[in-house]
Amino acid sequence: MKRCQMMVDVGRRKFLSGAGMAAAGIAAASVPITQANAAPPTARVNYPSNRLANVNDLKLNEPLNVSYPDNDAPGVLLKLGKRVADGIGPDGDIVGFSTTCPHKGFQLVYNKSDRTLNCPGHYSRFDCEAGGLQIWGHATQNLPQYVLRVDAKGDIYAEGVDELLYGRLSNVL
Amino acid sequence: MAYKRQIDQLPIVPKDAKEFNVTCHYCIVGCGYKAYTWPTNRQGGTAPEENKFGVDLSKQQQAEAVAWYAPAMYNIVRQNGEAMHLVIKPDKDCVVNSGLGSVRGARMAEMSYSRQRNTQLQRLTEPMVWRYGQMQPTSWDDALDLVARVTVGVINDMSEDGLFVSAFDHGGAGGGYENTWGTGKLYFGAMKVKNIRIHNRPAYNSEVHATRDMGVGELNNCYEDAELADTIVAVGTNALETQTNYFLNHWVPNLRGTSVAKKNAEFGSEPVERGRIVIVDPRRTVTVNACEVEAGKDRVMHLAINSGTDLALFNAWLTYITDKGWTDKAFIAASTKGFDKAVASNKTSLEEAARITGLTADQIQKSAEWIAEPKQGGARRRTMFAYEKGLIWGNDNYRTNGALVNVALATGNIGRPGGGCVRMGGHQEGYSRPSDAHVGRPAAYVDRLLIDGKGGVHHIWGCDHYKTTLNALKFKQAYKKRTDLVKDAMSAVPYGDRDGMVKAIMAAIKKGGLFAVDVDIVPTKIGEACHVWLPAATSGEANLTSMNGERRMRLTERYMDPPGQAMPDCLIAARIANHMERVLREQGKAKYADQFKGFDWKTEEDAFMDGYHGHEKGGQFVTYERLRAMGTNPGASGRLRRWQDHRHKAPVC
Repeated sequence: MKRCQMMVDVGRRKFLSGAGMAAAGIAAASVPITQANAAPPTARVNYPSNRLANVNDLKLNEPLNVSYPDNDAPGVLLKLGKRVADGIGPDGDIVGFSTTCPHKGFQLVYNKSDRTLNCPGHYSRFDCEAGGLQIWGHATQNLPQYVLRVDAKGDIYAEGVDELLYGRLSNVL
Repeated sequence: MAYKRQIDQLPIVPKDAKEFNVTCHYCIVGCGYKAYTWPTNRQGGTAPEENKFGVDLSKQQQAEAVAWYAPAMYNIVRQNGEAMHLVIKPDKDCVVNSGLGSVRGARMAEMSYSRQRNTQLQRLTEPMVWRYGQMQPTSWDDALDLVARVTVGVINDMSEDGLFVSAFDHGGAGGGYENTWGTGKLYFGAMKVKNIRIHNRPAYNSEVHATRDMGVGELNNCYEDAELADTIVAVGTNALETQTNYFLNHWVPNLRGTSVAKKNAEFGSEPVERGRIVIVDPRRTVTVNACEVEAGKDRVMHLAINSGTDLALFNAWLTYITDKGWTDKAFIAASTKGFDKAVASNKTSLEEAARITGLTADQIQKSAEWIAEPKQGGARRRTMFAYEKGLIWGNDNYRTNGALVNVALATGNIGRPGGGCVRMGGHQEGYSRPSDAHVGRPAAYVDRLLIDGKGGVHHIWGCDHYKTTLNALKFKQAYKKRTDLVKDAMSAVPYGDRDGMVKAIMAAIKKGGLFAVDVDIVPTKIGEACHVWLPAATSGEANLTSMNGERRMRLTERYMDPPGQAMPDCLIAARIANHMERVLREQGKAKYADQFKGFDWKTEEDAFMDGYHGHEKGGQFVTYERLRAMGTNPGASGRLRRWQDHRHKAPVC
């Protein structure tokens, strides 16, 4: 950003009087400036676009273990057999979630009968058909869900996460 | 669809962030937390030497991590006028919760007043008065002058019995030793107000008179006892949801069997094993489910009784246990009176109790065995009895409460490791007041008197009758009518004419009107009828001392500013006293005015030193400095269990 060079009236009058300009120039130059040399930070983290699976790898109501955005962040892809909000794929029924409980970091277990992810630590439950809504439990967040994309070949890519993952203060380490 | 914050990173707590002791103010368990604050233009880094936790934050943290906090644990607040980052996260070193956070405590930061992040903006920030037909902001002095003049005017006309008070009596937010003392010293010290009620009931009385009349204070064990008990008996309490971390951190280890080593260490050669639990509740709660998951169905007995039939069940237990000779005869001889008479007059057969409760005689017999049948080698079974609203908010509370204490006394389970007969509780405690003996018993039914047109001025502290009283619609109708009389009178006088204003208010009161003053942190429903609102500070915005359900006393340090001109309740009470003293002197009532001396407190610590430190047994050893040093863990468990040393004398909720 450039500083505005237009003089306000008082400065213009001083210019017309022929005084003060040189002194002002010296004063400005004498203030030492520390240049910020850090890379400009982004407001949100940049997510990798990672291929997690192909739609043909998924079986109805069978969780497929994946990791995103890196190998230390376990999750699942699910084909629910029912069109859901944020679901992708030809049937709009494929979703992906982190499986680390946002309460205390225990690994969640999938319950096929009611399509929930359940925590063995303190009994928290998350609804996979409703965007990871916490049905009951102690977490102060709903379950982080993946932003997914399917390409023409049916490959499923994860490209983002909508909540902070347990155990990291930045989703991408 | 599920709500998502779309937050994927949080500022890192820097190494030199300030650290404060915090005890969660939401429920009685009182989980330990730490608050961290640092200037908004700074942040820590991922390298261990760059953050408060000394941990490499570029790595994924494992389960139960110390160095992780959720978005709900973060906010930007003001501290001494400066905007600061705030993180409040569970304290792993606190023996109460061992790092667990509930959906209440783990949101303390997010539930703080922040104009930067638009959280909790509904707070009262300025004193407000009824002026020209609406509530308008004013100064403390102006609001308190009006309150003092009208209050003194009513006392002049009607005596102190014309001053009605509704006031919290507990710990945690909207309470604490500082604030119960501030209000207590005003209404029971400077004055002897008898038309006073407590936050959640229409009179100044206990919810558990029976246990107190029996000499058994209702908080008589420690949380570790739940780890040591052979059997836990839970009556009308859904602990997983309402005392979450007490249940998870102290009941579950016993049900899982992971506290057996602790039992061995405590009890030597006495046979011990994984705990059992009897749950008395008409509903199948999540607590029942969790107990079955942890202990196995064969160690959990859910007695789904007909609602309101606890008394018959407890008397059947007492009868069966006595008939079997499973009572603790030495304990009974040493610590009770009239035991045989109690057994005789409460005699209830298994069959009779089965008919009343809807249980089978077998269920009642088996549960009695779990409670009292001697262990291998004849050792007394250690049973902990815990009860809450399902018992105490039922009809016939007195006899039902007493009947449960009878069973605990009969089996020698008071004041013994692995025992206790205790309330699970609502919020923390923090009662320190001059004697309430003048209130008498039965205490005045305050809400009924207000409906009946009694009293001229009403001071309300953190209560909302409109939402919580019995017969609330009737109360609201009468209260609105009475306070509207005063509002209409006030609207007819120029606000600057204080003398004329007070005269108009007093005239309206004589016609059946009521002048109402509401002290709270937020606008309330009953506040809609009030003429003055006084903004109070809450936990964390002022230093606040409370004790939890095992009488563990802790100081939550002030880590942020109260909003606007809000003040701690104790200082509001002190300023009311100062103004009343001034008005009384103006009126030439020097002797009465002298009763309002001793309210020159500048800080909440002054109120604590005058109250708990100066007036409670053992209080002389308790100072802010010591409480700060002890952090979230004061009170060794053994000392907590010897409850006779710490006789709890507060009306509790």
